[in-house]
Amino acid sequence: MGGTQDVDHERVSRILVAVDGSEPSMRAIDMASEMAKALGAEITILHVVEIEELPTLIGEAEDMRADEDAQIILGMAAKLAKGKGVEPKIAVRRGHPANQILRFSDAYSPQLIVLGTRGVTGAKGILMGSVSTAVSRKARASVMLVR
Amino acid sequence: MAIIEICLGMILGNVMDIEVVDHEWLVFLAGLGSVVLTFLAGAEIDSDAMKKNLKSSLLIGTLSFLAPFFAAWWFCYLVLGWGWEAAMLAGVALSTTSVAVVYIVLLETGINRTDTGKIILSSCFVTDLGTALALSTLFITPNIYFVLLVAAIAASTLIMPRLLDWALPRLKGRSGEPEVKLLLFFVVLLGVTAEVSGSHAVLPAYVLGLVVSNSLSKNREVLVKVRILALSFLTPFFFISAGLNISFPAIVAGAGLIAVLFVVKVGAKFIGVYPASKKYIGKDATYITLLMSTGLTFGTISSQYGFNSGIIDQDQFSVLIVTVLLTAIVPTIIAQKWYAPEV
Repeated sequence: MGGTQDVDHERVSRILVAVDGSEPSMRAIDMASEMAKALGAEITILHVVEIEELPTLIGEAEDMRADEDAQIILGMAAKLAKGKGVEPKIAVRRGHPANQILRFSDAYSPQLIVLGTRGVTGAKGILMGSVSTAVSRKARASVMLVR
Repeated sequence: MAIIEICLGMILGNVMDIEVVDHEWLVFLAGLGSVVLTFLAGAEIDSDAMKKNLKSSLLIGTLSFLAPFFAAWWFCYLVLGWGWEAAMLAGVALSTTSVAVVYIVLLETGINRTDTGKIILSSCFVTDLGTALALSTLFITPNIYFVLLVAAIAASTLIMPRLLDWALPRLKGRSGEPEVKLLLFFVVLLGVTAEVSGSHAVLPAYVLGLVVSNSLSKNREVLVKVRILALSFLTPFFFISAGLNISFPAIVAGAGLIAVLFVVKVGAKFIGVYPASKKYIGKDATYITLLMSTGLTFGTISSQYGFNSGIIDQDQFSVLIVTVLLTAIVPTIIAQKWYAPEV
């Protein structure tokens, strides 16, 4: 009667951090890296190259300059993570950020997703809500939002 | 970006009362923008994927064009009482599929790399080829120079790939962008030939893009340069000028009609595309049909052509353009929210 119940806590072994180059996302890297180090968890940094939502040409989606920007952002993020003593994996996807984060998360199955808070992005953001709102609502994993 | 430019034009036209016809430079740049945009759309065709999936993409693409074309045409003529040519123009404008919008959606789901994705994209190209063909043949008043246009298109099909394969590597890296000038020279030459022959430049520009797509895929930097020029300078004038021609009062008065035309287009696409998609692609037929109900670039080009040629009036143009814009947005949202396939 009234005794403690055994709660099966899932160990955090995989952390996914989504970065877009903004300050909140860089703070998200900091926090996630510290947590990964403390918990001995693997950390993956994901950047989503946001593409033109209603393009007139296919080429607008395959803008190579966006890939160069992605490499710069991921480079900065990886450097931050390594500075905290963790070795991150990195990944790039193209598309709507929330959709791609959720798809990647479904495949990678992290216990925790960390991302920075940000305002609505583009016309689709108005209709479908901000990235952080969409991810925190639909992700199967726990989501931590960093301001 | 196109929608923003159209909306900007709409605001300028209705608030500041700017009219396109009063500014010849705008008419010229908008016309050039639409021709270069059409050329680039043709140049993005993956001709190898098309050849590989020819039967299925021809069938789906042809039905995707014909079903909404006839449905919108006859609806506008018999129910709305539009003139014969105006109704036909509405059929053309509402028959289109936005290849780029479809590509983005396929990219989101990763299907763009699969055989299914390639069939869908090839079908979209066939749909737009139907639109270009219709626009260039149904409203023309052919003269003796029409033979010249046909000959020019045939000649470009034979000569241009060889010419570019020879010239582009030799011109690479030279100052003054001679490769870009060479490409645009032939685009403009074919456009002028079309104009002189009483036809529209969209078909020769699209066909030229298609026949040189392989050559340009081997010289991607040239394609990127032309695309930057078009998207940053020329096509904004085209979309802004389309927006300038839109009448706010016509949209408000025609809101119900816009909704009906939207249903006619999407409904017809389902009748035409869904059975063939079910047969050749299978379980994601609804998703594919919704994607193929989108329209933006060619729908805008067709409507703008109709208005500039006097085939449709400003009210009809306004209704068609807004319907086209709705078809660019609504079907993709529905497809992604409720019918996105598992990957």
